[in-house]
Amino acid sequence: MFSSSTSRNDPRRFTGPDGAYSYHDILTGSTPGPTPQPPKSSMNIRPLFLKTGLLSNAQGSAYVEQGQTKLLCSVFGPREIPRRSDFSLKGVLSVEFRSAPFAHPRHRISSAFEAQPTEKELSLVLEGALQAAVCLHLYPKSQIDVYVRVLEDDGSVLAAAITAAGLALANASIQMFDLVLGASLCRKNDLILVDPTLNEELGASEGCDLDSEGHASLLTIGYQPSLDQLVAYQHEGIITVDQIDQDVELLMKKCKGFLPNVQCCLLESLKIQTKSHRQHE
Amino acid sequence: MPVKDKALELRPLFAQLGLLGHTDGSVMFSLGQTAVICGVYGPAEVKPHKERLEGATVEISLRPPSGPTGLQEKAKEAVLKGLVESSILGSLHPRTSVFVSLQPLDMDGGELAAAVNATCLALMDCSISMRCLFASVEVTRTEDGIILLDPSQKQATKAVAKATFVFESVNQDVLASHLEGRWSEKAFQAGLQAALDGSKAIFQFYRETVKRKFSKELMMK
Amino acid sequence: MDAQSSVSEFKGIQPLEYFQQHIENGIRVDGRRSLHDFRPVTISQGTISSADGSAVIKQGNSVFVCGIKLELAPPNPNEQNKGFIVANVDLPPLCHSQFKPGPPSEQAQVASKFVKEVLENSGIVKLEDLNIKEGKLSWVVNVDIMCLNHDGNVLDCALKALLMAFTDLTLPEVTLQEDDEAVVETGGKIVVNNEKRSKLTLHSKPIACSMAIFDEKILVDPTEQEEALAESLVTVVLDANSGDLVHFYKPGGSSISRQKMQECTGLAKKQYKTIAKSIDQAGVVTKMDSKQSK
Repeated sequence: MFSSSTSRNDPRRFTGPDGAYSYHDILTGSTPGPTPQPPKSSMNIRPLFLKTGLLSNAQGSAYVEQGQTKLLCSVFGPREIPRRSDFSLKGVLSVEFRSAPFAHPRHRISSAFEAQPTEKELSLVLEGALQAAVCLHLYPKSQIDVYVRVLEDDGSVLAAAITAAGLALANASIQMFDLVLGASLCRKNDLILVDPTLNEELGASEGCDLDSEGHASLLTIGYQPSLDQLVAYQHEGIITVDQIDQDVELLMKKCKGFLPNVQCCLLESLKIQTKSHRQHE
Repeated sequence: MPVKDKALELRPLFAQLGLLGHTDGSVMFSLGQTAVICGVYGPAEVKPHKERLEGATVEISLRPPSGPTGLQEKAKEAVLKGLVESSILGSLHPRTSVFVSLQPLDMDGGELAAAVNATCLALMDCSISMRCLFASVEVTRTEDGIILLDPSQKQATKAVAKATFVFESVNQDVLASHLEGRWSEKAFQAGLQAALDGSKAIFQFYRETVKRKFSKELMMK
Repeated sequence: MDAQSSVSEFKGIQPLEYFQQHIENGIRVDGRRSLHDFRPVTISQGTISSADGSAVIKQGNSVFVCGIKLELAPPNPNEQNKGFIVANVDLPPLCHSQFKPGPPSEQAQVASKFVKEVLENSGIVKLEDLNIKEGKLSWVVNVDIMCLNHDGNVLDCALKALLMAFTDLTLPEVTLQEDDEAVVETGGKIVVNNEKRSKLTLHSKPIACSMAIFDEKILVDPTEQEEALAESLVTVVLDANSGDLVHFYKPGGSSISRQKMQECTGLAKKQYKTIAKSIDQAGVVTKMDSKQSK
């Protein structure tokens, strides 16, 4: 999935030797690898840490820590569209989702400027989610850039990225119909893992093989709590129709569960902003 | 083996101005066996997104002798760009571009110094107004602290540290510096002094080159 | 209120004048009391558990993260007893509005080259130390320095992040078992013991001090705005162990006299001790081998 072959022979950066491989590839069974996933269902989101306005250059920014998953999102804009010929009455949203080369616990992710296929896919899903949430008709002839960098990947990155992007947009005072929150779950038959870690996700995707017994799936949603609408839906694996309903329902409930945390974080940053504003006056 | 006083001498210098017909200024410059061709276009039209109201936009392109341009060349380009920007009177030519293209032909030590000197000569050939001229020399230091001025690749094999300095012609101040290896402060000062002495010979060489060029042009008239 | 608004007008309309008046009075626009003061530095190590070594550094508003990922590879046929260090600096669009998505910007490429030069000049890590078995197997140390918020002084911050990530780095124990069924090209079966990790010996402690020169005055640790207005930039890198000059980087800009150069080196000398101390306090730095850093 994370082939590093594209990074070799890039004249704009230093590249390592051909045929380099991660030492995790040859970690044998003799050493206790990642602990085997517990077969218990887990219905809780991991501890969440949210912080906005950390970066001084961006109009808005958000840092999200969800368990060990750490990512940063910054928003620039609304600003002029670089190519003047593209006239649009609606604002243009551009989203870039990238992982730091050291984000994955096992492989080194290619740092080449050409994004990895998975990164491109997640960019698109995120862009779709935000396009539905941002009042783009209020920003004619302008562009809003959303950049997400994953610093550490321990599962549920897309869900965390959706939450972070929503927070960063709000922090940048971009008008939105509602906040966007992300949540994900992993299901293996009747076993449900909300907010799965990377190991749990990998466990699920291995189970995706058709010949293996039982089905496994990974579901991520983006949800607008006040409007009660879904803005993103990404699903991998096999699942029955009834289970979809159940799972989406469960994730929406989870989103509502951590909505107060998100609101609290925004309020906190607003307090700091007004305070410093008053000091200036 | 270089004896002490010869260690502080430059290799033979050679320059032929105006050898490229399509450029506004050009030179083939060699420092011993290290040779480089440099062409300057400008002040010429500039792409709209690069246009600057305050002065000319400087662009540098340095090609390696073979293969694609890498980080090595980019770093040298950055140094050359800084040099050209600070030495030409760019404010006389707002909203124009000055494009410097360099092609090393042979590398035998002192590549950066040769590129810098070629750039200065090409700018002079191009008759762009300049604040000052600049000249660059490489010095190396061996394990036992012997400073060698402008060594060839073969002579530099014993070197543990290298430094390239660029001086300007008005006050002999330092315009740019670039180090390789460790230098104690004393050795650094000694190297700097050696390079400064060497740069004087280069400025003298510039003078002769230009004199030769104009004597030819005047004779034709 | 009136005085306040006229100050902000002044700042907006005549940024250079505004800046000049600060410097003339010996203070900095961001509130520093002296031209020679550093911005406050905070360092945290080992924050990214997916990396083999990591550090986050915040200097004023500049934020950098450095992560090291280890890989294995057969050594270069010409240098059979050496490993590899691949260090890159990334200035993503996230850190400043001037950067756009796509290939690395020129500034990022120059910074990468600078970091590589400092690594080579200072000999902080001996490439021989990264060899596991001569001609067979070596470590590839991938160092990625990423800027999260760019407010000037990229080179200092990048180097600090790099140094702190190196002190945090641990390598798992690797042994080659030579048995009959040995794979030919690797010379044996590779066994990695992830539980037993050891630190890398660092042979020097390069510390950079960047200065901006403005109106014959030297500003230490310039912000992005100061860098843009300055006449020239100088970066002096000193080895905190031996006091040797590792790099004196001045990429063009206006000329400086030799006296000024000495002044810069002197300032860097004064600064690096305090920086080295603050770095030592941030994490337990491995005992340096004094013999090797002559």
